[in-house]
Amino acid sequence: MPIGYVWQTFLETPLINVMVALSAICFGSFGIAILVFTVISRAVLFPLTLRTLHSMRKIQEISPKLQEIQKKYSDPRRRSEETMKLYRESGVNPLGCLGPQLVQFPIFIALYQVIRITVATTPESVVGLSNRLYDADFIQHAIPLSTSFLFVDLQANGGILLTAVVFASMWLQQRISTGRTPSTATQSAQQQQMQAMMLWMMPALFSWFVLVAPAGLGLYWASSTVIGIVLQWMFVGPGDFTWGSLVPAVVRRRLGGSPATARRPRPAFAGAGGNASNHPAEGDSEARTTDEGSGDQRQDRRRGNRPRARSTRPAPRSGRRRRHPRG
Amino acid sequence: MSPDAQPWRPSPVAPHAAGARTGFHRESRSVFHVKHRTHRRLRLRRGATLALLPFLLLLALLSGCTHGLEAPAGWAAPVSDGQQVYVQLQPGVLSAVRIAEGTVQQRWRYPADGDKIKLTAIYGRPIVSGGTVFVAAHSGHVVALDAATGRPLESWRGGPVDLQAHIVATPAFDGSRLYVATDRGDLFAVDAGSGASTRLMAGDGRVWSGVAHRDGVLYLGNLDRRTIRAVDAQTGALRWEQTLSGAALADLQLDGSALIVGSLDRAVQALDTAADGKERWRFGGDGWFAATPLVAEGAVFAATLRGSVYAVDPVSGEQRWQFHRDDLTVRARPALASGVLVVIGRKGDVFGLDPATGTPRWHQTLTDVRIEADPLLHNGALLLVTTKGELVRVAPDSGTVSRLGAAG
Repeated sequence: MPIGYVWQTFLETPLINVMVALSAICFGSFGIAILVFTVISRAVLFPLTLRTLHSMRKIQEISPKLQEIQKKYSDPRRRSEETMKLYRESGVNPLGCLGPQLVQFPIFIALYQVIRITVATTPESVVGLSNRLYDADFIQHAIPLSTSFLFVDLQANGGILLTAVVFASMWLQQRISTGRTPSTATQSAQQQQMQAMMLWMMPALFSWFVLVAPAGLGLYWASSTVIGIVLQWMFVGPGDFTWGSLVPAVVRRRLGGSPATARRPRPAFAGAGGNASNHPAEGDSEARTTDEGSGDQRQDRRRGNRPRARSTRPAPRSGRRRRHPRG
Repeated sequence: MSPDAQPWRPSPVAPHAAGARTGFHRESRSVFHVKHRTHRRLRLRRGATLALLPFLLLLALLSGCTHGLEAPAGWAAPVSDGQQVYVQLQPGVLSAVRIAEGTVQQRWRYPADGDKIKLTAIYGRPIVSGGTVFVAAHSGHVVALDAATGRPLESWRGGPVDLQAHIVATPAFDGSRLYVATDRGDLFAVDAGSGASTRLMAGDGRVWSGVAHRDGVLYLGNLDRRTIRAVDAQTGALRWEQTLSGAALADLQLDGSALIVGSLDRAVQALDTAADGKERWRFGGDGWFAATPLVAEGAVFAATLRGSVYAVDPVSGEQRWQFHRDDLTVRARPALASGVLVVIGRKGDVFGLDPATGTPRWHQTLTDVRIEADPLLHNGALLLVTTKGELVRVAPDSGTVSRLGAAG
């Protein structure tokens, strides 16, 4: 059975009919239908979302232990084993957060097609829609749908306002999420990069998509993200996020407020808007003090040009260093 | 420490290694740092690449989604002035062709190579009058072309008229003015001689069904408002408005004082134009009536997108017969020629039916085609045009099909 047929028959066509039926129920407004659909889809995905949120909370709870592991083991394999062991013992699935996103993604793609097909901007697409509708009077009679919603034409490309809403809501959601994950010394540079990228690139990517896709899709994504933020806030809390942290540090200083308004400092996170550390060695993976064989060397480096007198141990001789000739 | 050791200078690669005291330490530490930093950079680079991969994948997926948007192609019906046939063979391009001995010869095309105008698509049937061809295109342009040369009329000093809105509906023509309804619902009168345009009515919804005109009154079907309006052709004043339960997509047909409307609520209705559009009768079918109903031989023939063709009594609205095929979807208007009702399916199924009983006389299948445009009765045969710009000749009495190909 070709995948296109399965996609159309079991996802796209039912979704088209659901949207048309919702529009018929919602006074012919496609915009309200999209909002209702968003609420329904989030409600259906709620168990999965709840699981994710619980998983996030557990990660938050075990973060001190995670930090301990990061400090204790320098061998990446050992560290990874211990981390996974901790996850297992705590009943945490580190990939659990991806569930709702993965489930939502096909819906997002299908919804794009559904909006494109249902709003039917060309006469050909109206005619083509006939084959996709179920043989029920209230569905058949609902076409054409009213595509104007709150001064937004849902069949036109998303405007600046909608794009800004999508960007802001996605950024906020990412910001709250990243504020919850254990940061500071436990994060590797890769993780920090990944977080920074998630914080800015995901909203940017979706905003671009909203700008070039029908506005109906932007409406879905914006409303879905806002619901996600509310759920996250209700069930897990805002993490280290405060509204004050949205104000740039420069402005806060000028206003005479505390430079750090966040609940806890986030020195390792460069993309969090003003909380980045100015000391790369601190909060870096190199700050570990108990690494066998290389700890002192790293401590030396951290000291920069301070005298070496404090160190009483002999110079470490790792295998890597012994390869170089002495003197 | 070696006595001849040079004072240490910070390495440009590892400036933070300035605390070294010996040459050995200096040497080995800076090498260590170079190596370590290189490794770190490599790790960061690898991390950045790994982080970028999902985004690139997402970007590719989202970009893939934006493809496949259906561009307007147009379904303008071909028309003839007896010498040439004017037909859209590719979206947004009108061609004048001559058909002789099974071959198609193109005389001209508009826009021609070098013309800056882009018509996008043509839905409205061209109007031929006095050696001029009038075209209203989806781009919003209304053009008057010399039928002999295919060039825009010089008397239209401003060139093609741009109405700033998409045009789908076939305009009406009263001999001196074109009445053009737009996608926004505006109604314009365009002077056929000079090209001067006047807005008769401001719009509030899409008008896609062809404008009907009789005795100084224009009839418009509003898709979004689901209304039929009668408007004074001189002033644009509203005479009457009738709300339907479904939107009108097919062209409006006048039959005496009755206005026949096929709509998306799976109904054909007859409105009394003499009684402010009051409904005379309503006939319910099994699907949308996107094809313009044919009023001929004392019957209304209407086809649906769900495989049925109906013959309906024009006075009472009662069904006379029904012809049904599951895989038949009809957008093109049925045609009556040589005593045979020819029904053309979108996917290439062509049926010849007995207009009195609906009994099939013949059936032909054209492969690999899509037909949306109304057929043209030309030299005793029906001329069909496919969405790929292929012309097909169908003999109505025998059902013989000749694929003429594209214009040479």
